[in-house]
Amino acid sequence: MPSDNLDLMRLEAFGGVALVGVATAADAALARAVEAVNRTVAEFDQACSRFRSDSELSALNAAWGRAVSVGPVLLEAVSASLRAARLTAGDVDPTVGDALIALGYDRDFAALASADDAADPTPFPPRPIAAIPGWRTVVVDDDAGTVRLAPGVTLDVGATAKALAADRAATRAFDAAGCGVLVSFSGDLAIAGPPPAGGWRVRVTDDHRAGVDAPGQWISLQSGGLATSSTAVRRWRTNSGVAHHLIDPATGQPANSVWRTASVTARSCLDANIASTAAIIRGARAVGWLEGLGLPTRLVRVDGTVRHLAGWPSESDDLPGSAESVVGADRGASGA
Amino acid sequence: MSFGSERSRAAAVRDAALERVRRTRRWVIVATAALSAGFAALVASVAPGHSLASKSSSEQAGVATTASSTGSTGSAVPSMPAPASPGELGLQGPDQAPSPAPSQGSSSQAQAPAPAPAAPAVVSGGS
Repeated sequence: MPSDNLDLMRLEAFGGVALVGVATAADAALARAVEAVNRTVAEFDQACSRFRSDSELSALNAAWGRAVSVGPVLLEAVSASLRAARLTAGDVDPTVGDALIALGYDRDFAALASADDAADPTPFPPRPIAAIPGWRTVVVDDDAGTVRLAPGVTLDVGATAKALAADRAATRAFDAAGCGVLVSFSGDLAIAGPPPAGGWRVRVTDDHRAGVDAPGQWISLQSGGLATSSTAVRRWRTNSGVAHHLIDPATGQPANSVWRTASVTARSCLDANIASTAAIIRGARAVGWLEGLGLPTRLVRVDGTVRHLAGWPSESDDLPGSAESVVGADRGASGA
Repeated sequence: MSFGSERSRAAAVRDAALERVRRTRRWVIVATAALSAGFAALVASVAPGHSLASKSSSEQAGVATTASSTGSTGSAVPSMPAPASPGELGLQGPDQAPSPAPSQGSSSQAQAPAPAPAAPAVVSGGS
């Protein structure tokens, strides 16, 4: 039975909220899209989860230097994570798994002592770790379908795999539903097929679980992908302070960035995710890099001011512009 | 007289031998060039675009590779490399930058004479 408004289906996937939307009011199309998305989530979870003892990734991490035959999903996910490392000169590195475990992130996030839960009496005692092994210690053989990690290396492909899954799920759902589709995994969006009139309306905020009333900005997207990385979420307490999940490979510690949140649009959700994660790690250096790549970006400083780069609209943002934005606007106005 | 005749015969023998050496050298040079050209043509037709330095396996540390499979044209003209896959390219910008959208309360439905179904709102944030 068609309804007057387009609808979204809300699911749980990859430890966060997943949304599936179709650009038609037909309920059957949404059901077919959701089925395709669920299938993709199951495949990626079985292949890439660091928290499942029966996943392919867990077997690979336990192989201690042996080449391991992996399925096409993990093979693609590992290759995508290595591409991310190559394109960011190692700032987005999948070999930070051991650093995350050392900081206590060795189980599903819901089981950790949240930084927001001050009453939790059991903050994690972090252990020191050696340097990040680096992505060049990972060898992929496409022909043989194998991946080999240097002994002691623990892969974490979580962020790039989730974005890759969003791209794959959106394409599958589009094929199944026969209409435009939007898929969101924990706030990382992929769009396939023609959008609804006016585009897909997106509220960009610090936390994907926040409602549409949270401080942020409304934008409209027609195609491609959008990803947001933030140090304001997925934080937990340790004996040495609050940790978050975005690890700087140069230090092995949570990134101490000038940005608390970075949102990027790109041709795919995967590319957007790579850029948004790198933006947090790179800090102030990210501005020129993102502008050079022409990736529309919204950056929120830790003080709550915001910068819009490379074509990201600055209208109707709840947050005040940063000093650089104001100077840039003045310069643009005087030059016009 | 006899001594002079001996000398001229020795000179003639030497000249003939030198001529044979020159002729043989010319033939060796011509044959070497012809064999080289033939071998090059054979290799170019059998394995175009390959070099001795290339790896037989696509195994490479940290980099996924794609095989070039453009096929041979049967001539010695080197074939063009295969187009780069999206995985080999750099980060790609969107076809269209995001545009400002009206807030939740100010739906475009109210302004349109023949309203289309309203797109639902999605939240993008850190996870």
